[in-house]
Amino acid sequence: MSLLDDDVCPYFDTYNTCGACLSRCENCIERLFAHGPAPCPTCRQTLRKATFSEQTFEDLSVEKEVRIRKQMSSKFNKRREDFKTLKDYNDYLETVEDLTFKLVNEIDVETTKAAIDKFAAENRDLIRINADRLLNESRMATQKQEMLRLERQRRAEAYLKELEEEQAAKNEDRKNLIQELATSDKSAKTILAARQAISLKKTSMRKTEVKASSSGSSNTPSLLSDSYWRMQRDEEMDRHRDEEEDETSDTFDPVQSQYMDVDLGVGYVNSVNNNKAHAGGLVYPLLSSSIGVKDLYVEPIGVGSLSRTSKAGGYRLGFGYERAIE
Amino acid sequence: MLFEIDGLPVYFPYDRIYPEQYAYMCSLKQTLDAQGHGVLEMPSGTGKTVSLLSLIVSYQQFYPEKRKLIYCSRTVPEIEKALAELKRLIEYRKSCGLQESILGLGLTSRRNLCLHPSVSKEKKGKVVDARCRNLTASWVREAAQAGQDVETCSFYEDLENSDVREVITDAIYTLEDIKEIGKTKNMCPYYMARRLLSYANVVIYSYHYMLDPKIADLISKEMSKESIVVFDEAHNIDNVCIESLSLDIMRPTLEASSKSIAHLSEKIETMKQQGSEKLKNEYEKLVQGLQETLQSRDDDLVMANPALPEDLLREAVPGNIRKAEHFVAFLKRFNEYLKTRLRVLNVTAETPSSFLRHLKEITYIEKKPLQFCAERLSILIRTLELNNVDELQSLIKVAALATLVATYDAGFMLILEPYESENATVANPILRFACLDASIAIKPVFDRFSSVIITSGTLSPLDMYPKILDFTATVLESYPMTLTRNCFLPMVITRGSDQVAISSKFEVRNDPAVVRNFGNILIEFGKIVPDGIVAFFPSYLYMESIIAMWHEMGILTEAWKTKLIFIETPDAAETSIALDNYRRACENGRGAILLAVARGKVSEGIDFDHHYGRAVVMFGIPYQYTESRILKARLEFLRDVHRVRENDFLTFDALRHAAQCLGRVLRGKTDYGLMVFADRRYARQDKRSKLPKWINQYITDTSVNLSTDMGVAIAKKFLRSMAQPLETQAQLGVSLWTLEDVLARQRAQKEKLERAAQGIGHHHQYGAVEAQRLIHERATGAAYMDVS
Repeated sequence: MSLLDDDVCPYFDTYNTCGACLSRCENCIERLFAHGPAPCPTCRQTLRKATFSEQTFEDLSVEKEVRIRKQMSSKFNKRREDFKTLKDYNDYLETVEDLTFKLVNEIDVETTKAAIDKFAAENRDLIRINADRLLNESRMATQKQEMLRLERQRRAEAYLKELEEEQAAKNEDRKNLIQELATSDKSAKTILAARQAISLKKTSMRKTEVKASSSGSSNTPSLLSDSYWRMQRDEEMDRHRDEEEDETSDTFDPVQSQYMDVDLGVGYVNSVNNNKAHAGGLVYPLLSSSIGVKDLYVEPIGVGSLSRTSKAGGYRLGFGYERAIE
Repeated sequence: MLFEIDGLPVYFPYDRIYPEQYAYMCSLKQTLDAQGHGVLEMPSGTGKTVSLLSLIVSYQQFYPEKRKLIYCSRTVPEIEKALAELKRLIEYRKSCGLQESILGLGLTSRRNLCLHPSVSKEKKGKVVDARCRNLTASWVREAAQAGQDVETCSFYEDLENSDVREVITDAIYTLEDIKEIGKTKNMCPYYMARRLLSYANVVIYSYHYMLDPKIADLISKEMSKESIVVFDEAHNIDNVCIESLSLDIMRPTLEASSKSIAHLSEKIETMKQQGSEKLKNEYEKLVQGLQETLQSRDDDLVMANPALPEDLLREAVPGNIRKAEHFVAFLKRFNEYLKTRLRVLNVTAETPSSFLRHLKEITYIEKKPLQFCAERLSILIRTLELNNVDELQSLIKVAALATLVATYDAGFMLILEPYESENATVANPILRFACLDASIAIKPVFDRFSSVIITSGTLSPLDMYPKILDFTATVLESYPMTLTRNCFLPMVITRGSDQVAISSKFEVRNDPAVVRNFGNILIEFGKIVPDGIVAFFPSYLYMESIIAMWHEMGILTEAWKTKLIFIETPDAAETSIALDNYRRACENGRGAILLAVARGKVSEGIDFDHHYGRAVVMFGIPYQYTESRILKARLEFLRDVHRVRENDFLTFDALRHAAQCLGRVLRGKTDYGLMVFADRRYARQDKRSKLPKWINQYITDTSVNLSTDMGVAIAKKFLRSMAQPLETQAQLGVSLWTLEDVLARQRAQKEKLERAAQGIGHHHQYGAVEAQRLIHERATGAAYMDVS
């Protein structure tokens, strides 16, 4: 091994004070210990390749400490349950820590080692039992983690599927509607109204479903004000309306878009939007006089004449009356 | 004016009251009566603060319990405004001949209150805190009393030597007042305010004193359970909660904490060699249990525990970190472990429990001592009598992470990213400990106080907040706005004059046609709107790219012809200069355009009242950056736990910020302004329905699907009509009530109720329902307002 002295690898960074030397350079280890145990080039202790392990920590002292802890933990594995009082347990923890500290900092190594061996011999059975327990626990934990992971995955998939299904149902609905409008001899109004009722039912069904499954977090305070319910209802309607709107706006086509025909002068609003104009105009008849933009303003249809058309826009008749009376 | 709400006399310091203020007070009273929590949304600029204060102070003084009011706001200017309002209110109550003693005061950081000749010169808050501690720590003062030559703060000493309650008479003290008293009496205003907190009837301070567990424990511990807690401007409260429990750790943090650890162990070594008893004493105390050491917690506590549950506090510190040197070795191991984790090459996300398992495998660190890490460190720092705590910031952060990761499991996530941002090419690994559940930080508040009020100008949809903060609200209310003239005009511009749809959707946002149309909106409105225009973009990145494109297209040159242009930047100082100059340009009469960012500084807390903002344009929808890992994790959490759909939450979040931006333009009923939503998607009902009621109420179907030229035409007419003089007389009785109006309302209400009560006899079923409804309406105050 005298050859080595000339070409010591600069990365071969050893700590000669420890039982197991540490090295950063894999090549050196390969070369030095290729033929079994050999003396360490710095401290001359006989070492094996197996004693070298990959470095995990930047700080070599921590690396060493952890290695000592590994040995310690195989012996000192008592638990809280093994002690009568918390104080005893804490005292035990402190003793273990003291021993470890001494080993790490090389204070009274011999006596410390003797003490450790003594402890191990005295508690052999308990150590074995606890080691078993630990193994079981770690298995359980792994299993649990895996289960959680699968559960999460399942939930995510379910959610995506739900979204997909909703989208598919929506597309299907639309297709059917067009089909029906094209082939049936009923008036478009009645068909639309019938659809409206069905999809309203669906939305409320979905809502109750969600409510039922999230009963834990949902809150149904008794003191909820009237306007809160009103708002909720509004929302339900809105959601319902969105469903229609989604389809038109997801794939935007400037020709088909709902725009106001300015040439017609009085705000003529295209297609479905018309119904909503009533709903909006009825609840908040604004903007008309004070600003004077009347030429673009849609005259609200009076409450009395709240017709089927308005209902088709997702507007509940009773709601309109209620607001109007106030 | 003085009127009664259900038997409670309310002193309101103005002669006239807005109808929504009246309704707001009714709901408030109902919430307080029920001892429950409330979520109240009120239009911005309609005197929310004064209604809150006058009702709660009246309530407090009328009933014998004298429930304390804790009013939390976001920024120092807002706190000052509230204090000024409170002062005015109390003066009014005095002038009404009420004999009462009310102590009200505000609290802010040392930086704003310090009087010490050299410390107060420091610019950074943390430095002021640290230097103050160096002068006022108990060991420093002991040393000084023992005759050693150490510097102390004369202001603090004088405060210590006198009884605060004797010096301070019951009154309302603004931050300025407190400072003034401190100057004349030569006492430290910060500590004076803190000592007075427990005596005060009204306390006004920042959110953090309530929500951040690191400070809340220190400041707000002694508030009684009966207190009424109000969070004003609370639309961002969930983010504040989340931020207060989240941590980012990077390489420099770990390097610095390594150094601190080395420093600590040196200190311990020298202390041992000097044969000091202090370490031994500390050890003895720890053996006896943590509770004992907590007894000595007082003002000079250098850092508070981020989150130690009560029952843990009663337990003793685990034996393996009792000795100082053991604890330091423990910290070192943990720190080294974090360093190894930061050598990641790909993004990983894991739960705290899996993190702990890995930690145990590698370093043999158990969960228990980890939990006590923060507490143990603060005890050690005190024992070692370390003065420069600011140098230990990184280590404190690491210890806080240790405690948090071992204490919480559900609702948290650790995310390791090798690159700090998406576009970074140089690896700069970052470990994010992210809180996903906003309810965790605020839970102690809801648990402890019987009435918590959450209020703001933009809280829609209201049911979202009880869901994500996990509480039950007794009152959820949103108020429409009553106006004699429609003084703001919201409009949705969906396409340019050339009929090309505009949107900030990712696919089309850099399309030249879209960018040009955005630019045209700016130019066209620049031509017709007098004074200031504020335009908001969804993000800095997008704003930069658009401005660059506008520059090439010559749009900026065109806009320059009519108005000066100012731009908000991420730099706070730069932005405040821009803002100042923007204001100057508005004062000059020429007007200016301010380009700002939603979620930026300008969008929160800065008012563009009157001529400072006649129009606000929101370019696009300010969605969050959805590729962020933390956001993804949070969305998943919301979906699984609160059943909030991803899209619902994202839209809710985007629209509350949009509403917040647009709400900047209107500060009161005499103000007027345009609100322009420039994105095709705003035309959809699902977006609009998430806007606050008071804005939504004025979006008509005529103004929902406009092209730029149509929008300009409508805006022109609007501005022309707004330019007419406004007479207060016209508002009376409609959007402004005198005392007579209030009384008339109440009389009418009473009659209606009586009629309904009689109705019970005649039409049994119908009448009962009707009466019930009326009683309900009366209670909520909804009946007082016939706005719709």
